[in-house]
Amino acid sequence: MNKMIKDFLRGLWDEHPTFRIMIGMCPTLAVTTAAINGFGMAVATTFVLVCSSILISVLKKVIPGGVRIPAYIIVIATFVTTVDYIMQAFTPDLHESLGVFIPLIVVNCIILGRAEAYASKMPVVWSAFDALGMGLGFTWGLTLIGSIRELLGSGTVFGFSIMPDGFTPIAILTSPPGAFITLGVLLALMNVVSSKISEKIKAKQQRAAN
Amino acid sequence: MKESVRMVVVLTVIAMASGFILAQVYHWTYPTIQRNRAQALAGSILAVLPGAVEFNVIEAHPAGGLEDDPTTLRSKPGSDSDPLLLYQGLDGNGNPVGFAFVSEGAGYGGIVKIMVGVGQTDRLISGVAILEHAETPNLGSKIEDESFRSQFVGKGIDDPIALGQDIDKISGATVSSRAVAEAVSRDLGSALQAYKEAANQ
Amino acid sequence: MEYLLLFIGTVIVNNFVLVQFLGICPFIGVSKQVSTSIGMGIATTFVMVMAALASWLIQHFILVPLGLEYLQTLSFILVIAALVQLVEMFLHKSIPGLYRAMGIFLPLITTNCAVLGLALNAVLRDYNLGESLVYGFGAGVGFTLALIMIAGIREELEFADIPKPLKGAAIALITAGLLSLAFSGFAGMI
Repeated sequence: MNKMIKDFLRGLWDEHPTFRIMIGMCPTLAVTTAAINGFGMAVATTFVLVCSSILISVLKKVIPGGVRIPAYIIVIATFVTTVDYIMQAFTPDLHESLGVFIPLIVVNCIILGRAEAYASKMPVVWSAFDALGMGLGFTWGLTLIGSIRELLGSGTVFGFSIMPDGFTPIAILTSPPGAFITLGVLLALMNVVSSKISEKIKAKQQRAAN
Repeated sequence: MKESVRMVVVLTVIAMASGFILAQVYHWTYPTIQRNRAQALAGSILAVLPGAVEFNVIEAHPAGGLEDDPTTLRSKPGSDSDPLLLYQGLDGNGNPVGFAFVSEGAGYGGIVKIMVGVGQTDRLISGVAILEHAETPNLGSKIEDESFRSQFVGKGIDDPIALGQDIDKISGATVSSRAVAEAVSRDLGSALQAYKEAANQ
Repeated sequence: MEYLLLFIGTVIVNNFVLVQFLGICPFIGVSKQVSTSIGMGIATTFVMVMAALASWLIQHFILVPLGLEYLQTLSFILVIAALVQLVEMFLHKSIPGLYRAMGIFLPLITTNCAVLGLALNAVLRDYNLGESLVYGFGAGVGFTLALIMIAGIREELEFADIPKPLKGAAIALITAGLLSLAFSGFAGMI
């Protein structure tokens, strides 16, 4: 049980898909012009990730090793197309602003990566938790980047005005160069934070040893 | 041999199951998607034609070919081979109040698609609506603002409809502003001509 | 002329990597050396042109006539995976020298979203066969260009005195941001 929680939490920080392993970068940069877009994209990806991890885990004994990648791709593409049509029908505005990046969830390396590295070997419940952890990690990452870019680039977060009236939006943050720079700076900050954390842990261990 | 047969069978079964599921999803969501598109189109047509409550679709160059559903917004009006779709707005009594057409221009982030409304008698622009764009949020996206779009109202075929002449650009978004102005002015003449011909038939 | 405009537009104005954010994973992952970037770029360009051709044929001869548009994403990604496999087998058998140079990149191309994005975009924009091929080639050249540029800069960065937290991907991303800023100067030209 403890191990399962550990695997679940791994995706939220230690093996965070955006800030640590740096996979699934295309949607991370492309759709985070506003918090709602990043959040919507991440939720759609999480849905596909969890569903395909569960199904692949269920089918792991049935699928022969030689055709496992094409089989995974079919499973993932089916869920992606389903999400694509559902969003087109029920959240048309969000669907329009995410555009081609919804079908491109198929080639998000997070999903195929988890299928190959985890779901194809582990029991169903474990795979579901692992996928959910990764998905939630991806969700907070994209929502954070989207919020920062929206706050500084448009003065709002999730469409709510936050900044005082005198604030001039830094419009470049909502354009393509802003995406690269925001993520680069965030990564550097994350590196600072995690090296501080590991220093503290080391210091504690040393004190305990003494 | 047995292994390779199993591979083919498993893959075929998975592919067929996937195809079946997607067909179901498609048929389940299709009516809603079509209705969304039709509503979005109708909304923008009525928005640029004050007084209109419904509309007819007129195909202005039927000889051109292209069987495109007028609700998908996928037609490319203004090019040689495709028909120009004109949406004739009607008031509550069924009298025409003007017509609207779709036009597009190259913006900063991609194609900017707009709807232009023209009055029935004065032949002047009665409204401009932005249908699709991928412009920078908070900068180019200001082409959606009423204050920018309203500049086109009252302009006609004799006006230049160009940035710096009778249209003020949005500061910091020259390319986006120009895309809209060009999209309006480029097709206005041919749309007016096509509407006149269609009305005479 | 139209094809030339489309080509320049795809390579520079709407550069796949720096403006449209397609193919970021290899852009950050495989861009530490110029020589490997060139190999990756050529292999990807080749697959892109083939994918543009294959997806056009599938769309216009199978999906549209049979009313199966909802299988678009599925069939395109399968065809790209199969294409990559075929290219790999072909190179392995007939041009082993090139295979040794490019082989390690080939499996990565399947999950390069620039390839699938190209196929989907070409259909979305209603390109004819010629336009699709030019678009595919332009996308590949643009991808290669961006990859080589960032690799050249990163080779120099190796020797620069960079603050520790910025080392690696962080400085690469900020550099990419500046490159993207330079490319945004071309926006609206076409």
